[in-house]
Amino acid sequence: MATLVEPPNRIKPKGKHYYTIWQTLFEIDTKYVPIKPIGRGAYGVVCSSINRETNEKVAIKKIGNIFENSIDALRTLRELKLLRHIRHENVIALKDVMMPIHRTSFKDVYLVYELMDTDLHQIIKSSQPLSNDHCKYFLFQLLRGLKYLHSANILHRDLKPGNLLVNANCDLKICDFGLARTNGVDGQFMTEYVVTRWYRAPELLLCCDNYGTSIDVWSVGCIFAEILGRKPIFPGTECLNQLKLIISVLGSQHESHLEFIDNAKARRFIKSLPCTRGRHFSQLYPQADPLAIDLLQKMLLFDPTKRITVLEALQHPYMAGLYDPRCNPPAQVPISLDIDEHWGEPMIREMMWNEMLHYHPEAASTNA
Amino acid sequence: MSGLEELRKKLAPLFDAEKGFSSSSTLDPCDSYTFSDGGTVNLLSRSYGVYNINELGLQKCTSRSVDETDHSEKTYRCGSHEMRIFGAIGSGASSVVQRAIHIPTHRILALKKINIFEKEKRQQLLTEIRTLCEAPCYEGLVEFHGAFYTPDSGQISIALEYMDGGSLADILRMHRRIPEPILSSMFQKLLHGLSYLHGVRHLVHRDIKPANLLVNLKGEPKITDFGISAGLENSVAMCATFVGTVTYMSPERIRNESYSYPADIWSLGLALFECGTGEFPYTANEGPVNLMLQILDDPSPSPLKNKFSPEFCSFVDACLQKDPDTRPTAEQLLSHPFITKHDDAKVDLAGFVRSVFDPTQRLKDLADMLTIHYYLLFDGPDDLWQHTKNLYSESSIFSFSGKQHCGPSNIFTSLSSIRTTLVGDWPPEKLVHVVERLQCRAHGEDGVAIRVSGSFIIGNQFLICGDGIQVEGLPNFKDLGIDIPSKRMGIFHEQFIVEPKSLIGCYTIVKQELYINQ
Repeated sequence: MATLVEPPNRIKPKGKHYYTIWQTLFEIDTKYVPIKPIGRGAYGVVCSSINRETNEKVAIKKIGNIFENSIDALRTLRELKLLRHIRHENVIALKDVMMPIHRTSFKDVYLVYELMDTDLHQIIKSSQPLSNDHCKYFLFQLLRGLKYLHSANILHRDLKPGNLLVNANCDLKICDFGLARTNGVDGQFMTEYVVTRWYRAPELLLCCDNYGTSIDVWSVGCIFAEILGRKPIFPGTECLNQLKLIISVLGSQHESHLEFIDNAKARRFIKSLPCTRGRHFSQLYPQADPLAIDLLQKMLLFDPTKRITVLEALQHPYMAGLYDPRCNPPAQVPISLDIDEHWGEPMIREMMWNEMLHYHPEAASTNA
Repeated sequence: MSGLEELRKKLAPLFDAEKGFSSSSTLDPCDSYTFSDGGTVNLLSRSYGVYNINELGLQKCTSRSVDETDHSEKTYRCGSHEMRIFGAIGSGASSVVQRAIHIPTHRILALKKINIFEKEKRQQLLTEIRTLCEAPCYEGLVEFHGAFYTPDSGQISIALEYMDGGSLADILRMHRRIPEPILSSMFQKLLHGLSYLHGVRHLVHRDIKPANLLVNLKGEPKITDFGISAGLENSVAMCATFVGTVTYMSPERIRNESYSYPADIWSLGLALFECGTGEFPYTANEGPVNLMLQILDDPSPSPLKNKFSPEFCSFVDACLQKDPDTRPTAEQLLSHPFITKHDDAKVDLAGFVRSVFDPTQRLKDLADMLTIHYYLLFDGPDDLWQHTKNLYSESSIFSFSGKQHCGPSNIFTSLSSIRTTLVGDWPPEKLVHVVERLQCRAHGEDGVAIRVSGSFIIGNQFLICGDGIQVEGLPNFKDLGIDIPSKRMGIFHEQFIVEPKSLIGCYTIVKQELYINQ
């Protein structure tokens, strides 16, 4: 699978060796030996590897030509900044970021994560049976990781099954922080031109200005419903259709539940949708634990001010006996992100280099 | 914690940890393409023919007799090894566009790179290749030159005609709005392209917007990026929010009704409105839902009657009818007074385009690309060097060492002799050019004079100093840490006068002078 090859231009830099994986050239630190490719997507190519210094298995993700698209570059920078501070068993750990050889002209970035076997999307769409215990354990871990993130003032904003990595023993970790934000920062309006819509909260779809941790809770509700039903609950084809699907399940909303919508046109649209009583979740998921149905209903409330919080969800009877506050301390310090979405390549490049130095302090002295 | 531990014990493993999860250890099975070890990607789709794309380029499999009788069928081979790839022109939601030179013909092209392993984009690519393959060079449409697959990056590259001006969106960023006579002339040509797409190819573009309306320095406007196919609309990709795409979407598309050619007319009307007024008529920064609701519920936007001509207002109003059945066709719009009123005016589109885009920067970019291309040929492998003959015409002149050589054959022979001398007896280490200084100025109306100076050093490839245009595969000079004075084996000065051929993106070296000092 992974083939050791000669370096390009026959110039062998110290401390690096070269492998081709799925015909993609990997330039990696010599302490890592690739095993096999494990994934490929819009982000890049991922291969499992061994860290020869610790005998630990890791996943190396190569993001090639990262500056070709400034939006992807910013997403990677955001992830680097956030993951450096995060330490939690339900959030993927970024163990290393390899220093490129040339500071001013590197094009590829190699991120080293702890190795997980697959993601929840693959599990859901497979034929693997999931018991009520599986559903409960997945949900508990997701909520526990999310509570940690929210205590650090971090909104994930792109929770979906594909961003939840799992192991054979059912351990779950949240990944992909490319769209994460710190809560309360008065950031500019970001053109979210590619964001998965099926898991987006109503207040995000309607572009309300003041949203908070409740948007992640909505995503968790959609994911939980998908675990129970083994298919997406709101597979909208576009924004308006997405909202129609949501209302068709939740039912028409009372006036008092629409006050969070600050755009008059959007509010009028919601009211104009056909009157419906909706469908109770127990009809959609007849096999599910009644307590799970109750929790799901509280997560998928249209009005974000009425939606259950992460802490309340962890204290819900469905989660009884699982959550212990003493074993789940909040993050040490709130994390701030000083990222300007209008930065050009030189600034993004410099910021990335600075993030890499945190993993390689010895490289700071040699001004490569 | 006892509750949690009890729960853990009850969990059955999801899969055998040793074997791993099956779908994550291999490529997802996909019934519409297979990937073979040789790097060939077989693209299959129910509604399209079979295309093979590998490093050697696009080859359409004509296994059916119908294809064999199609005389207008046009395929073009261009492989990655035939491309000199320069920096990005721009990037969008689904692709990156770069400048490139096709080595055998020395033609400057635009390379649109798409990641093939994203299912949604593969469908988009299929539609684009088919459309462009089957649309021979036609007024108002960007020309397709071929496609190839690059295994290292996992991308398919589509070679398109290089529009050396830019897009109407670029013009709007700099000039805010475009005068009516210019728009009339431009949109007449764009309507010819759209009429051809609708009436002859029976294709809906689906993404007409200023960013996809390009113009070259000759003043020719063309539609590009036939990128969104019907298949995409039903695919997972539409989970994504394409704000840019939503902006120009017609009411019937937003309502999820069936739509056809009139949807492009709506988009064209919005594009014209924006180009003429300098403003997009809807509020776009309050999110896609609000934008969609404005398009559905608000009255169609209409230009101010006291600021624009009646013909302009009438054209926009006709295109922006909410009811698609009442919108005129592209063919009908060609007869609209807004289009016809300037027919006899001899609008100078070329002059307008040149006044908008910085000629100096365009000249510099061109000089950089051609210079790098020439020296990469000269100091490169023999098989590529053979193509150099095409750079000269019968009237080209090369001066060296007190002698003048005229015509492609003589120039090539003379240059080859110099090249052989520089290579010496041990090819792995030879004298190669290091360009240290490059100057350029306009020559005549369309030509460029390039003056280059630098050093010869012993090495294995050409190098260029500075941080101008970078080319893929060429190391950045600063990274190599070469001290030129200590390695210098000689000095060269060379001057080129380059003129464009009739074919857009093609150039000829009409005069070349070389001086070498030991």
